Amino acid sequence: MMTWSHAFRPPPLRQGELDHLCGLYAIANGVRLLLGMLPTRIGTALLFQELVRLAGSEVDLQAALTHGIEAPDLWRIVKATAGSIARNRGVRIVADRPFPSRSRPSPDTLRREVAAGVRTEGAVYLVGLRGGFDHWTVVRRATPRALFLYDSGPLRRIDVDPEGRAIIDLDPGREYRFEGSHIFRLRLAHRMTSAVSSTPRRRSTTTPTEEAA
Amino acid sequence: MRPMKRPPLKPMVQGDLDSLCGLYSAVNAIRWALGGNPPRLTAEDVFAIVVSRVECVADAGAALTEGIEPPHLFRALTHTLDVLRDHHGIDLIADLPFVGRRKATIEHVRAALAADLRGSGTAYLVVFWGRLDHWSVVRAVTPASFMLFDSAGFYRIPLDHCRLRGEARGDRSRLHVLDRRGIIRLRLREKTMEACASDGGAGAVTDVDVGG
Repeated sequence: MMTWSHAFRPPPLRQGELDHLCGLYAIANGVRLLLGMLPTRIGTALLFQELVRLAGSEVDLQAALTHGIEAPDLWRIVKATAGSIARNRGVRIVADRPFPSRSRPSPDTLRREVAAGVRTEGAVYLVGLRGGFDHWTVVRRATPRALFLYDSGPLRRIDVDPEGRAIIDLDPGREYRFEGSHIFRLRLAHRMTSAVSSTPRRRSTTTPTEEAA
Repeated sequence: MRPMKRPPLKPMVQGDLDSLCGLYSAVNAIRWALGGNPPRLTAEDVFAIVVSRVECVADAGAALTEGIEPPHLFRALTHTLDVLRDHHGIDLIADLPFVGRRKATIEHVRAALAADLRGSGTAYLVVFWGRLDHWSVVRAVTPASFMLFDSAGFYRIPLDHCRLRGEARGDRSRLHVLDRRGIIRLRLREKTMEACASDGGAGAVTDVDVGG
């Protein structure tokens, strides 16, 4: 009779390893990060339930679970989430795409955009990585050499090497590229207003292409 | 007075918000019973089958945010096993050994699981209501604990913290309530076991039986 060795069995699959919910988690984490310092903290579980409800009206949840959510669908869910939070919580989140959809911003261009957006308006960025990891994550800040993540998986940062290539420490042999259609910016409307009134507005190096509140 | 420093807000990691432990447990139970992934299938393939079967018996959105009830998971699992048998030649069977056993106690559960899990090709999906509210896979039983093969990283659950639903409450330390409908036994028919062994692709080294 065939017998199995417990000692050599592969480890159990952990939640997150098989499902493709990184897009919804990226929205949840982006919104949490954005609202984290406000008194109107949204219960994250309720936020996730709302996200699943909104996602269910935009995409087939079974496909989302097993194949992930495409950028245009996730963008619609982001806009719907901003609308839902404005209606239900009275907090206006402005969501836009800072780069034209068909553009391919270099890692350094994205890094400069994030640095400026975070500094002036407290923006957070949802970014879809294309490469070894096909993954949605949140970029929370940028330094001259790296983008720092607020990630639902194991990623912590994306390094921008001296040649301007984006490298992830977990996947060092591969160069990652960015697409304008896969970069969403979230900002609080009232912080945008105060940033405009209190600091000279830096000329944007990017072209906002779509905005939703 | 200095304001209290707020702890940094940590990101939610996948698994923190969703309630997919039942679906992951179904996949993990199949993998445990087979000793690895089914031949010629990846874990992603099995997960996709489970998800598609869940859609047949429950609302996917509710399963994602609120979890899955024992009868729904059992039905989704049996449908999944139908697919594995009909399309992939993997002959696993699922049953509910404690449904209808009103007088069973946690000691009966312990004894039955210990006996079944001593051999190979068997796994138990168990829901732990109460403190955990969580589906897991019991891979072995010691005199003191359920040993888990778990999607959230839990390793063991002390037996003296468990009771069966309807059993006398006992002391307050019994934090985990087992549901008779939520104790699902998954067994591999011997014929399939031999096929997995000859395929050599079940994903596990298969030479020693260390049992439970």
